[in-house]
Amino acid sequence: MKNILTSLARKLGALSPSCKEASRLQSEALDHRLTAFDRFGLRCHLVLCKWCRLYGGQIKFLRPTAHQHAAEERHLPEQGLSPAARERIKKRLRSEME
Amino acid sequence: MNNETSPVETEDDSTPGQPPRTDGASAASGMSDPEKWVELYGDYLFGYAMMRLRDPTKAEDAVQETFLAALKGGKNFAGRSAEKSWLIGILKNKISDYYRKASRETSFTDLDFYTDEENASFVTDGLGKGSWIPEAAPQDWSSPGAGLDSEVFWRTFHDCSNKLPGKVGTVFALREVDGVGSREICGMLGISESNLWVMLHRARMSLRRCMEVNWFRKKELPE
Repeated sequence: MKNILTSLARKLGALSPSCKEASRLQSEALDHRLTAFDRFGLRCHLVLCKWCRLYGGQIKFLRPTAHQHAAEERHLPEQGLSPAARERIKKRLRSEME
Repeated sequence: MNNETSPVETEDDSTPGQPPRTDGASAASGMSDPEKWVELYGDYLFGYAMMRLRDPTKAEDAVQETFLAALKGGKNFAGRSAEKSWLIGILKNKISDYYRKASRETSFTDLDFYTDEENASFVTDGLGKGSWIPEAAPQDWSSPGAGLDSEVFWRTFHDCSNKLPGKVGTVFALREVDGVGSREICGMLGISESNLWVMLHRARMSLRRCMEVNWFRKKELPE
Protein backbone atom coordinates (compact mmCIF):
# COMPACT_ATOMS: atom_id res chain seq x y z
CA MET A 1 0.00 0.00 0.00
CA LYS A 2 2.71 2.38 0.99
CA ASN A 3 4.59 1.56 -2.18
CA ILE A 4 1.59 2.31 -4.31
CA LEU A 5 1.10 5.65 -2.60
CA THR A 6 4.74 6.54 -2.97
CA SER A 7 4.74 5.76 -6.65
CA LEU A 8 1.50 7.65 -7.15
CA ALA A 9 2.96 10.64 -5.37
CA ARG A 10 6.03 10.45 -7.57
CA LYS A 11 3.90 10.37 -10.71
CA LEU A 12 1.79 13.30 -9.57
CA GLY A 13 4.95 15.11 -8.61
CA ALA A 14 6.33 14.73 -12.13
CA LEU A 15 3.17 16.27 -13.59
CA SER A 16 2.90 18.95 -11.02
CA PRO A 17 4.21 22.50 -11.42
CA SER A 18 6.40 24.08 -8.74
CA CYS A 19 4.87 25.96 -5.80
CA LYS A 20 5.89 29.22 -7.40
CA GLU A 21 4.08 28.27 -10.57
CA ALA A 22 1.10 26.87 -8.67
CA SER A 23 0.68 30.11 -6.73
CA ARG A 24 0.58 32.02 -10.00
CA LEU A 25 -1.96 29.62 -11.48
CA GLN A 26 -4.19 29.82 -8.42
CA SER A 27 -4.21 33.59 -8.69
CA GLU A 28 -4.94 33.49 -12.43
CA ALA A 29 -7.80 31.10 -11.81
CA LEU A 30 -9.51 33.99 -10.04
CA ASP A 31 -9.29 36.09 -13.19
CA HIS A 32 -9.80 33.71 -16.09
CA ARG A 33 -10.36 30.08 -16.92
CA LEU A 34 -7.10 28.17 -16.98
CA THR A 35 -6.24 25.85 -19.84
CA ALA A 36 -7.07 22.18 -19.31
CA PHE A 37 -3.37 21.46 -19.06
CA ASP A 38 -2.83 24.04 -16.31
CA ARG A 39 -5.93 22.92 -14.44
CA PHE A 40 -4.73 19.36 -14.46
CA GLY A 41 -1.21 20.25 -13.36
CA LEU A 42 -2.53 22.48 -10.61
CA ARG A 43 -4.84 19.76 -9.34
CA CYS A 44 -1.95 17.31 -9.20
CA HIS A 45 0.08 19.84 -7.27
CA LEU A 46 -2.65 20.64 -4.78
CA VAL A 47 -3.14 16.98 -3.92
CA LEU A 48 0.44 16.92 -2.73
CA CYS A 49 1.00 20.38 -1.34
CA LYS A 50 -0.71 21.62 1.79
CA TRP A 51 1.01 25.00 1.64
CA CYS A 52 -0.41 25.73 -1.78
CA ARG A 53 -3.86 24.59 -0.70
CA LEU A 54 -3.65 27.10 2.14
CA TYR A 55 -2.37 29.73 -0.23
CA GLY A 56 -5.29 29.29 -2.59
CA GLY A 57 -7.86 29.59 0.17
CA GLN A 58 -6.18 32.66 1.56
CA ILE A 59 -5.98 34.65 -1.65
CA LYS A 60 -9.65 33.80 -2.23
CA PHE A 61 -10.40 35.20 1.19
CA LEU A 62 -8.80 38.51 0.17
CA ARG A 63 -11.47 39.27 -2.43
CA PRO A 64 -14.58 39.52 -0.22
CA THR A 65 -12.41 41.11 2.44
CA ALA A 66 -11.17 43.84 0.10
CA HIS A 67 -14.73 44.34 -1.01
CA GLN A 68 -16.02 44.70 2.50
CA HIS A 69 -13.12 46.93 3.42
CA ALA A 70 -14.12 49.37 0.72
CA ALA A 71 -17.86 49.03 1.07
CA GLU A 72 -18.07 49.98 4.68
CA GLU A 73 -17.45 53.57 5.37
CA ARG A 74 -15.96 52.91 8.76
CA HIS A 75 -13.12 51.05 7.10
CA LEU A 76 -12.20 53.88 4.79
CA PRO A 77 -9.15 55.92 5.68
CA GLU A 78 -9.81 58.56 8.29
CA GLN A 79 -8.00 61.03 6.11
CA GLY A 80 -10.39 63.33 4.38
CA LEU A 81 -10.05 66.32 2.14
CA SER A 82 -7.58 68.81 3.53
CA PRO A 83 -9.09 72.14 4.59
CA ALA A 84 -7.22 73.81 1.73
CA ALA A 85 -8.62 71.40 -0.85
CA ARG A 86 -12.06 71.78 0.64
CA GLU A 87 -11.91 75.55 0.27
CA ARG A 88 -10.48 75.35 -3.21
CA ILE A 89 -13.26 73.06 -4.38
CA LYS A 90 -15.95 75.21 -2.81
CA LYS A 91 -14.49 78.29 -4.43
CA ARG A 92 -14.40 76.60 -7.79
CA LEU A 93 -18.02 75.50 -7.42
CA ARG A 94 -19.05 78.97 -6.39
CA SER A 95 -17.39 80.51 -9.43
CA GLU A 96 -19.08 77.90 -11.61
CA MET A 97 -22.48 78.80 -10.25
CA GLU A 98 -22.14 82.51 -10.98
CA MET B 1 -14.33 63.53 -21.61
CA ASN B 2 -16.61 60.62 -22.26
CA ASN B 3 -20.29 61.07 -22.22
CA GLU B 4 -21.41 57.67 -23.29
CA THR B 5 -21.28 55.98 -19.92
CA SER B 6 -23.08 58.37 -17.69
CA PRO B 7 -26.37 60.11 -18.25
CA VAL B 8 -25.57 62.65 -15.59
CA GLU B 9 -22.51 63.90 -17.36
CA THR B 10 -24.17 65.36 -20.40
CA GLU B 11 -22.71 68.75 -21.01
CA ASP B 12 -25.79 70.26 -22.60
CA ASP B 13 -28.59 71.39 -20.43
CA SER B 14 -31.29 69.08 -21.65
CA THR B 15 -33.74 70.11 -19.00
CA PRO B 16 -33.65 73.87 -18.77
CA GLY B 17 -35.34 75.26 -15.75
CA GLN B 18 -35.00 72.01 -13.87
CA PRO B 19 -31.61 72.29 -12.20
CA PRO B 20 -31.78 73.21 -8.55
CA ARG B 21 -29.73 76.33 -8.89
CA THR B 22 -30.64 77.56 -5.53
CA ASP B 23 -28.16 80.42 -5.65
CA GLY B 24 -30.34 83.06 -4.14
CA ALA B 25 -32.38 81.25 -1.58
CA SER B 26 -29.87 78.96 0.03
CA ALA B 27 -26.93 81.31 -0.24
CA ALA B 28 -28.92 83.46 2.13
CA SER B 29 -29.39 80.55 4.48
CA GLY B 30 -25.65 79.89 4.67
CA MET B 31 -24.41 77.39 2.16
CA SER B 32 -25.66 76.57 -1.28
CA ASP B 33 -26.28 72.94 -2.21
CA PRO B 34 -22.96 72.25 -3.91
CA GLU B 35 -21.10 73.61 -0.93
CA LYS B 36 -23.09 71.37 1.30
CA TRP B 37 -22.06 68.49 -0.94
CA VAL B 38 -18.46 69.26 -0.17
CA GLU B 39 -19.18 69.13 3.56
CA LEU B 40 -21.36 66.04 3.41
CA TYR B 41 -19.64 63.89 0.83
CA GLY B 42 -16.22 65.44 0.26
CA ASP B 43 -14.36 63.14 2.64
CA TYR B 44 -16.16 60.04 1.51
CA LEU B 45 -15.55 60.72 -2.18
CA PHE B 46 -11.95 61.60 -1.45
CA GLY B 47 -11.41 58.31 0.39
CA TYR B 48 -13.03 56.44 -2.47
CA ALA B 49 -10.82 58.16 -5.03
CA MET B 50 -7.69 57.73 -2.91
CA MET B 51 -8.17 54.00 -2.76
CA ARG B 52 -8.18 53.85 -6.55
CA LEU B 53 -5.91 56.68 -7.65
CA ARG B 54 -3.46 56.60 -4.76
CA ASP B 55 -2.43 60.18 -5.07
CA PRO B 56 -3.94 63.01 -3.02
CA THR B 57 -3.71 65.60 -5.79
CA LYS B 58 -5.34 63.34 -8.35
CA ALA B 59 -7.99 62.31 -5.85
CA GLU B 60 -8.78 65.95 -5.04
CA ASP B 61 -9.06 66.72 -8.73
CA ALA B 62 -11.39 63.80 -9.26
CA VAL B 63 -13.61 64.97 -6.39
CA GLN B 64 -13.73 68.50 -7.77
CA GLU B 65 -14.53 67.22 -11.26
CA THR B 66 -17.30 65.13 -9.76
CA PHE B 67 -18.94 68.06 -8.04
CA LEU B 68 -18.64 70.19 -11.16
CA ALA B 69 -20.27 67.50 -13.28
CA ALA B 70 -22.96 67.09 -10.64
CA LEU B 71 -23.59 70.80 -10.76
CA LYS B 72 -24.04 70.63 -14.51
CA GLY B 73 -26.12 67.51 -14.28
CA GLY B 74 -28.36 69.45 -11.98
CA LYS B 75 -30.50 66.72 -10.55
CA ASN B 76 -32.28 67.05 -7.31
CA PHE B 77 -32.42 64.08 -5.04
CA ALA B 78 -34.66 63.81 -2.08
CA GLY B 79 -32.67 61.23 -0.15
CA ARG B 80 -29.13 61.44 1.09
CA SER B 81 -28.28 57.93 0.00
CA ALA B 82 -29.59 58.53 -3.51
CA GLU B 83 -27.53 61.69 -3.73
CA LYS B 84 -24.45 59.93 -2.47
CA SER B 85 -24.67 57.02 -4.88
CA TRP B 86 -25.35 59.45 -7.70
CA LEU B 87 -22.13 61.29 -6.84
CA ILE B 88 -20.21 58.01 -6.55
CA GLY B 89 -21.47 57.08 -10.01
CA ILE B 90 -20.05 60.30 -11.42
CA LEU B 91 -16.79 59.83 -9.55
CA LYS B 92 -16.38 56.35 -11.01
CA ASN B 93 -16.60 57.81 -14.48
CA LYS B 94 -14.08 60.49 -13.58
CA ILE B 95 -11.70 57.82 -12.34
CA SER B 96 -12.13 55.84 -15.56
CA ASP B 97 -11.48 58.99 -17.55
CA TYR B 98 -8.30 59.48 -15.60
CA TYR B 99 -7.11 55.94 -16.30
CA ARG B 100 -7.90 56.30 -19.96
CA LYS B 101 -5.84 59.45 -20.18
CA ALA B 102 -3.03 58.07 -18.05
CA SER B 103 -2.74 54.91 -20.10
CA ARG B 104 -2.24 56.98 -23.21
CA GLU B 105 0.54 58.96 -21.60
CA THR B 106 2.52 56.36 -19.69
CA SER B 107 2.96 52.68 -19.79
CA PHE B 108 0.92 51.05 -17.11
CA THR B 109 3.02 47.99 -16.54
CA ASP B 110 5.15 47.48 -13.53
CA LEU B 111 6.65 44.09 -13.96
CA ASP B 112 9.86 44.37 -12.01
CA PHE B 113 7.83 44.86 -9.05
CA TYR B 114 7.76 42.24 -6.35
CA THR B 115 10.45 40.05 -7.72
CA ASP B 116 11.78 40.47 -4.21
CA GLU B 117 8.55 39.19 -2.77
CA GLU B 118 8.80 36.08 -4.92
CA ASN B 119 12.43 35.54 -4.12
CA ALA B 120 11.66 35.81 -0.43
CA SER B 121 8.90 33.22 -0.70
CA PHE B 122 10.34 30.55 -2.99
CA VAL B 123 13.62 28.69 -3.20
CA THR B 124 15.52 30.37 -6.02
CA ASP B 125 17.86 27.59 -7.06
CA GLY B 126 19.01 24.07 -6.43
CA LEU B 127 16.96 20.95 -6.00
CA GLY B 128 13.81 22.45 -4.51
CA LYS B 129 13.74 25.38 -6.92
CA GLY B 130 10.34 27.04 -6.90
CA SER B 131 9.17 25.44 -3.64
CA TRP B 132 8.06 27.46 -0.67
CA ILE B 133 10.80 28.50 1.73
CA PRO B 134 9.42 26.89 4.91
CA GLU B 135 9.57 30.10 6.98
CA ALA B 136 7.69 32.01 4.30
CA ALA B 137 5.16 29.29 3.49
CA PRO B 138 1.49 29.93 4.18
CA GLN B 139 0.35 29.11 7.70
CA ASP B 140 -3.03 27.82 8.66
CA TRP B 141 -5.12 30.92 9.38
CA SER B 142 -7.74 28.96 11.33
CA SER B 143 -11.09 30.76 11.01
CA PRO B 144 -9.91 33.87 9.16
CA GLY B 145 -13.41 35.31 9.28
CA ALA B 146 -13.11 35.73 13.03
CA GLY B 147 -11.14 38.93 12.51
CA LEU B 148 -13.81 40.70 10.53
CA ASP B 149 -15.29 42.27 13.63
CA SER B 150 -12.01 43.59 14.84
CA GLU B 151 -10.93 47.18 14.29
CA VAL B 152 -7.31 46.07 14.38
CA PHE B 153 -7.94 43.55 11.62
CA TRP B 154 -9.30 46.26 9.36
CA ARG B 155 -6.55 48.67 10.20
CA THR B 156 -4.02 45.97 9.35
CA PHE B 157 -5.83 45.23 6.11
CA HIS B 158 -5.88 48.90 5.30
CA ASP B 159 -2.16 49.35 5.96
CA CYS B 160 -1.31 46.23 4.00
CA SER B 161 -3.32 47.32 0.96
CA ASN B 162 -1.66 50.71 1.13
CA LYS B 163 1.73 49.06 0.87
CA LEU B 164 0.92 47.89 -2.63
CA PRO B 165 2.69 50.31 -4.93
CA GLY B 166 0.52 52.65 -6.99
CA LYS B 167 -0.28 50.73 -10.14
CA VAL B 168 -0.48 47.34 -8.53
CA GLY B 169 -2.76 48.76 -5.86
CA THR B 170 -4.93 50.41 -8.48
CA VAL B 171 -5.29 47.20 -10.44
CA PHE B 172 -6.08 45.28 -7.27
CA ALA B 173 -8.78 47.76 -6.24
CA LEU B 174 -10.39 47.66 -9.68
CA ARG B 175 -10.43 43.90 -9.83
CA GLU B 176 -11.11 42.82 -6.26
CA VAL B 177 -12.94 45.79 -4.81
CA ASP B 178 -14.97 46.94 -7.79
CA GLY B 179 -15.15 43.55 -9.48
CA VAL B 180 -14.27 44.95 -12.91
CA GLY B 181 -13.55 42.20 -15.45
CA SER B 182 -10.03 41.51 -16.70
CA ARG B 183 -10.73 42.66 -20.22
CA GLU B 184 -12.34 45.86 -19.14
CA ILE B 185 -9.41 46.74 -16.87
CA CYS B 186 -6.99 46.05 -19.71
CA GLY B 187 -8.97 48.32 -22.01
CA MET B 188 -9.07 51.01 -19.36
CA LEU B 189 -5.38 50.93 -18.60
CA GLY B 190 -4.02 49.92 -21.98
CA ILE B 191 -2.20 46.83 -20.71
CA SER B 192 -2.20 43.24 -21.87
CA GLU B 193 -4.10 40.58 -19.97
CA SER B 194 -0.96 38.70 -19.08
CA ASN B 195 0.52 41.86 -17.56
CA LEU B 196 -2.65 42.35 -15.60
CA TRP B 197 -2.55 38.82 -14.26
CA VAL B 198 1.03 39.19 -13.15
CA MET B 199 0.20 42.41 -11.35
CA LEU B 200 -2.80 40.86 -9.63
CA HIS B 201 -0.80 37.81 -8.66
CA ARG B 202 1.82 39.99 -7.05
CA ALA B 203 -0.75 42.12 -5.30
CA ARG B 204 -2.41 39.06 -3.81
CA MET B 205 0.86 37.50 -2.85
CA SER B 206 2.06 40.61 -1.09
CA LEU B 207 -1.24 41.33 0.63
CA ARG B 208 -1.60 37.74 1.78
CA ARG B 209 1.88 37.74 3.21
CA CYS B 210 1.44 41.10 4.89
CA MET B 211 -1.81 39.98 6.54
CA GLU B 212 -0.24 36.77 7.69
CA VAL B 213 2.76 38.45 9.26
CA ASN B 214 0.89 41.38 10.77
CA TRP B 215 -2.34 39.79 11.79
CA PHE B 216 -2.55 36.02 11.64
CA ARG B 217 0.89 35.33 13.02
CA LYS B 218 1.10 38.33 15.23
CA LYS B 219 1.53 36.32 18.37
CA GLU B 220 4.39 34.26 17.03
CA LEU B 221 6.10 37.09 15.22
CA PRO B 222 6.00 40.32 17.16
CA GLU B 223 7.14 43.09 14.85
